[in-house]
Amino acid sequence: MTLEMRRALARLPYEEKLRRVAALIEFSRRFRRPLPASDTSIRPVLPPTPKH
Amino acid sequence: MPVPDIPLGEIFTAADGLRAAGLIREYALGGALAAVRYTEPFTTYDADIFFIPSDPGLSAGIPAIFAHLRAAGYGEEGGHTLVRGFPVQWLAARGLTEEAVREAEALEFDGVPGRVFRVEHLVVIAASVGRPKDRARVQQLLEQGNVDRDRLADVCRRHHLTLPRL
Repeated sequence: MTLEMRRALARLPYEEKLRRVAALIEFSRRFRRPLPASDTSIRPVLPPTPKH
Repeated sequence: MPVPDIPLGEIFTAADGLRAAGLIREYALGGALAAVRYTEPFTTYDADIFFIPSDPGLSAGIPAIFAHLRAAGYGEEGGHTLVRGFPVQWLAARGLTEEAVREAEALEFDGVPGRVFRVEHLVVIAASVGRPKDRARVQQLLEQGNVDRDRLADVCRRHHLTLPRL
């Protein structure tokens, strides 16, 4: 990705950027390689949005 | 399946509740979620809310802040408040971060008023922390954040900081 492309992304509205951050979090949760049982590293995990 | 969103408006509402209760004097969003306002989107897993405490003591009123948030129905995990499942860290501001809170920019998110660190303060704060990821953040903010170089120089001068060579 070029610097100009990154600058274009930087100019997106804040609301849209946070939607993409949320999408990145969800993607990384689904895409993460399964850890071996012996791995004890701490990884942040977001719970699903609570249903009201 | 809908993607859970970042509940920033509700985070501002929680912070405003603390201000209304007299537990904090002022607050503003800092850290990575604030940086996203000025750069390309990147993954971050929590919100950092910096606050000017009403309690000048060593505890900065943190126990009372957590008690208030628990009473308001927010969950808690690992020293973070959970706002609709999203972790929020409360950080007492001092020196550079206190100035960043006082000079924060007002905004509205999901119709809720809030405050966010200016990009110049984010640059200098990252430079002052100095880890490799903070140096990368400084570069990213300078390249993408449309930084006011005069304001940036003023902040650096006031806090006796120089930016790293990138």
